[in-house]
Amino acid sequence: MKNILKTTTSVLAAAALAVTAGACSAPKTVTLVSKAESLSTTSDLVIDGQTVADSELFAKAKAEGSISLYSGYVENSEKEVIKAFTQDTGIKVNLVRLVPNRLLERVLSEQGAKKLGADVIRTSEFSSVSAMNKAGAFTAHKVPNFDQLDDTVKNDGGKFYRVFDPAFTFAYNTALVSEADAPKSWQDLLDPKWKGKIGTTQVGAGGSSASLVRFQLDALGEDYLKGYAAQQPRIFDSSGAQQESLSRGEIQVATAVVSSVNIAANNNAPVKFVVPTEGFALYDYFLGMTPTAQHPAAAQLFMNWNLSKRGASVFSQIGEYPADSTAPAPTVMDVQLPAMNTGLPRRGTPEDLTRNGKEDQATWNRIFGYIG
Amino acid sequence: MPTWLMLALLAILILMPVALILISAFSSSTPRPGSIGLSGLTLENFKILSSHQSVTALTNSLVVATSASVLAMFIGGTLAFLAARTNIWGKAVIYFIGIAPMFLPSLVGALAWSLLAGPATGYLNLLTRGIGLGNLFNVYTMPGLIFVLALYYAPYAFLLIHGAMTLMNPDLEEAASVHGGSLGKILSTVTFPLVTPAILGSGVLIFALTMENFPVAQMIGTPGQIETLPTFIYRLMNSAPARGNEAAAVAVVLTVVLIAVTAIQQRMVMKRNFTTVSGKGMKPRMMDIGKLRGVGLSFALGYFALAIVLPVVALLLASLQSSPYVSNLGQLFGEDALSFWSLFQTLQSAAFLDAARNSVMVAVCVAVLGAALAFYLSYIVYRTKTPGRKSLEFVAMLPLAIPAIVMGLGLLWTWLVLPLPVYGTIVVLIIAFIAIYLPQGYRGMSASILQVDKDLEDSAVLLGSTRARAVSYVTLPLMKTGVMSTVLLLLMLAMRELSAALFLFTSNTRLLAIVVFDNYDNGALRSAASTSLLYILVILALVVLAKAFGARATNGEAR
Repeated sequence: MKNILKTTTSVLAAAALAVTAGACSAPKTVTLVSKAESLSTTSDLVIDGQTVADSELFAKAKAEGSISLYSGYVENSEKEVIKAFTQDTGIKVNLVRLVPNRLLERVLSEQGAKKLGADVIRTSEFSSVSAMNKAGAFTAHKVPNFDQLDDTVKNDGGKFYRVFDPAFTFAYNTALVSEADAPKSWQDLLDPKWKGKIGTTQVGAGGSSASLVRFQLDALGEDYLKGYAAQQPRIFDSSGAQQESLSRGEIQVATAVVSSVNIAANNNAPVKFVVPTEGFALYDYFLGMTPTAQHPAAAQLFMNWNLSKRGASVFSQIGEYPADSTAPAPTVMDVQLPAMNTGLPRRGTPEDLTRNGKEDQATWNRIFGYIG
Repeated sequence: MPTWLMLALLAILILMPVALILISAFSSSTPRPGSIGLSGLTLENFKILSSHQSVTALTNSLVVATSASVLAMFIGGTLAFLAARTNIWGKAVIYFIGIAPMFLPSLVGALAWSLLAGPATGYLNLLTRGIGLGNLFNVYTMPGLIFVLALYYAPYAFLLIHGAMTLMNPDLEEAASVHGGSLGKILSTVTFPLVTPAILGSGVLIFALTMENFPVAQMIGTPGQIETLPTFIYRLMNSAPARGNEAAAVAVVLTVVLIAVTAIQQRMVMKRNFTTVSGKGMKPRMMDIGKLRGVGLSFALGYFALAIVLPVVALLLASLQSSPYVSNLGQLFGEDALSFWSLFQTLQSAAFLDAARNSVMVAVCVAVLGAALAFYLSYIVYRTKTPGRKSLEFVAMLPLAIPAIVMGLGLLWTWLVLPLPVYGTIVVLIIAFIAIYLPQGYRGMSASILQVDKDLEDSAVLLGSTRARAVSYVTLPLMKTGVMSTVLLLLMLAMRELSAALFLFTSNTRLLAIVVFDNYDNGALRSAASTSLLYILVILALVVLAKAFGARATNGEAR
């Protein structure tokens, strides 16, 4: 036994040597989110010509130094946001990342025990954010541009805000599917040549899936889902796992979130998203500040920043539609996404999703023969 | 410690979370701090059990757990027999192979096998395609799931059976041999019946563990649409809105099934006397298996390749690949196709370093405290006539029957409600893991306490020693192999645990398993692979250290 350990140790040492001797170069990547065009931090915090915090709030926030963020947003994307925020403000962000449904459970439990550890909470789905709000997890905070934001953005007098909407469409693996062969519309996916080679997330995988299914039922009809099910798609429990499977080529075409495709492509994955002729789904992400925030000033600053022009620009660069209706539609991987008024991006309204949620889920599970 | 105090401890550790889950199963709203009550009692949640889906999930789980346990016990038992009782070459190597897969969490193993044998682009498929055989492998199938589970649960069978086999009194076999028994006859009528408690114990343990295993079922089963109870429960918990009540109802049924299995095994162990260690000196007899030595050795090496070598190679390749997509193996040797960059990034990242520190701290505390608690408990149950000891045992075995993911939720509620400031700290993870792994600790301890003759300790007491002194100078040293195996077992289990921590970690108390699973779930596979590799190295380092402390005592290997 001792000898084995000795051998193992020496093998490991040799491996470590080989590692140091081997190639260590970083793979080619581009910076996803660029620096702010103008940034003034001397008294007020002014980014891109917009005051994000007055000198008093900014000084307090800097003194607090950090915030605790509970987020249901895709981790890689949230990290890009945090990177930009810290670059702009010098304030660190401690991230607890959980899938939205688990996050809801966590927040409700902590709030019930009066031990909520978050300063700010970001999650998708109106029903979840409402449940948190009902439990008293949010306190009202009016961001500086409160009056300019429309009513689909600010909720309950500033207790929580809709900040951005990811676009849920489909994507293909460019190493396996040429651009000419690539599907251009949702209907194209029903072509027999894709049988067994496509994927989708299950309806209960989160607010994103629920919104996509709502869009599909609304714009394409129940028969479309039946056709999709007949294609024998691989069904995933999380869009992250599906994205990776697509990148690796286990499947050739799959439903996908534009920003995730953007980040995967940025990490050298051969993937490209499609803007289908029938349009695609948008789903909401919300942000709110907690009443028991340990770092209240920094939390307010984070809220302000998220809803500022700079925030909109950061989310847009990642590939999301900013909630601020005056912000332009994002350009991702050199593709200009259609503006809201083209009717192609379809945002499921909270009322619509709440009304149909249960039935959509049952319908989908029945059509795909899925347990859920 | 009087029995009632122990009972109180177990009540907080185990009964309270279980009670919260039970309330949840019969309630119309999820019990959370601030809203726990017996109002809204309902049987509505149990309706889900009659659904076609639950029946499918239950059937799949039973098939998977049964087949995986049989396969795992065959692998583990064979290796244990080879290492403990035969004249095979390189026994230390066999022993090492028997326990080595424990260094690889099933989570990591599942990740590696999905890289190796995923359809279309698994490395093994690239290999068979390269030599013109086409795609041969698809791990996302029922056999694939059983295979991966068996690979990573075989060491449990190995550890328990090996422990029992080294402690076996050779006189009985000697006697059989003197009276003309053949090798096969001795094995089937003397050797194997004597290790029955260990075999049954490991069988029940593996059955329960594979039945409630979440990471493998999620990574291998789910992509192939093979639903099992843990993934079903996970999905219910994770659906929007969370269906915690129905999940609890499913968990209650699973609990009942597993309690029944445990009870049957219990009856078999309790009604007979398996004492094999007495005051007489002993040295297990080594059997000459002749030509079978070669077969045995290749069996062990084959298992080692499947459980360790191939997965590690796959993880290494995946963490070095600059692009996630590979069309053929030759591509990997192209310029800039492989880079250590990501591995170094991970190694230096605060996320990894913090998680590694947390994991090690939790595992060490769980191993030491958990083993001490388990010993005390086994002692009360098997060595005293204290009233209520049966109920102690029942409570201690309870967590085995509750899926860790559900138990994790119960523990979250418990520690949010209790006025002790441990929630959000690493302490709550330690408490949770001790509770969840108490059955394994208890099983390990009681299996070895059953083999040590009570008379030895009593003699010391008769000669004037105090009971505590007699335990520490007589009983414990005799149980050394068993005790150290249990400590090692708990250490490994705690290092590997994922499900129970899912609801309890905070940003400051992330564990390595959490980091890997989150990376996988978020589609950051390269980072999941590099974290996994380093995860294995951390576990390995820990084992080497543990060995340095109690090296020779940990097992019965070549002395």
